[in-house]
Amino acid sequence: MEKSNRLNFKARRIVAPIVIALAVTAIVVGIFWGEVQIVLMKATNICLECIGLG
Amino acid sequence: MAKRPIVIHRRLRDFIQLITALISNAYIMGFLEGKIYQGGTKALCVPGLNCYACPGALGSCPIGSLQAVIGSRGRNTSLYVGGFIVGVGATLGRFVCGWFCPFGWLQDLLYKIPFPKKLKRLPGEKILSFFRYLVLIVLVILLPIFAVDFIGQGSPWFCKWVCPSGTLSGLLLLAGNAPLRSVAGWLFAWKNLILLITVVVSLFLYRPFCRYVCPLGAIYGVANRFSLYRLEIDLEACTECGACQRVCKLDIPTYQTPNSSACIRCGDCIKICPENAIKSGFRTKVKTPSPVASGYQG
Repeated sequence: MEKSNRLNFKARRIVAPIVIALAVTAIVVGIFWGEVQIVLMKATNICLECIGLG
Repeated sequence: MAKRPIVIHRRLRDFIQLITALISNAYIMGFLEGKIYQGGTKALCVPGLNCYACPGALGSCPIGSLQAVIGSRGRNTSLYVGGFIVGVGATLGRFVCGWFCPFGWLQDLLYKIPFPKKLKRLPGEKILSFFRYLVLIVLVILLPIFAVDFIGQGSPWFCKWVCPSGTLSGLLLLAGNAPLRSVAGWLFAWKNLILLITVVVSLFLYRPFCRYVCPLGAIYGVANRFSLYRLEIDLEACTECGACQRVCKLDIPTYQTPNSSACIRCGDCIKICPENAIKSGFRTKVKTPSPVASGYQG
């Protein structure tokens, strides 16, 4: 069991940085695809669905 | 007499949650005038559940933003918001829920109110805890993408039909906005019913919304398994006395599953452990049990 735990530990140490790197890449690509404007437009107008009116 | 470490720890967490809620909702004029902030910071998501329709909100709710983008005509994905949520999750996991989520903090405050009997869990806890994944997949992802109107525009189903954080924001907004009050109808009543249930259950059960419903917590919970920040058990020091599970308001046996998807990483177990066997941080390196071996699937 100790051996498998060490493997889990190493695997986790690799998985998290890879996922974070992919996430940062996704954020950058998303910015270039104009997603920020969609978020900003939605967030700066009152979201009627959110407050239960629409 | 010196205060116990766990008391100091809990006060620190209370303070950080308060500061986070205040910073996230610092637009005072919104509360006074019944309107929302419209500045550029709203292009940025906050890590916790904090509705962008809240009069004080300076940033955007990640779950609302995710639905807004994937429900937009011609788009089925959101790399910007999805990347943000996954990145935060892979870094901190549900530490966000325990320390930075304003709606989680609200439930914490409600749970502090004295009640005749506090429950550690509900019957069928394991099955109920899977409900949040259903909410995430169906209401946050599938319906906004596929249930579209005649121009191809999806609706934020989770926000519209469930989210009590949005309802609370609506109450604050409507308090200072008479024209909006006049159009409140049955949907507003439905959402207030969900908010009321959340509030009442929070009085006797710790964080019911986070346990069973929150789609953001569902994503961060999965990330708990591999995130950079994590809890580890020193098997040589741990005596399996169960003190960590007894102090845990979510009833998680930390000594068996230190990175359970249900754990909000409040840190109470770390402070209560008499053997100092629970370590947390970004660079912990001690022997830890596997979840499969322990049999706990929380």
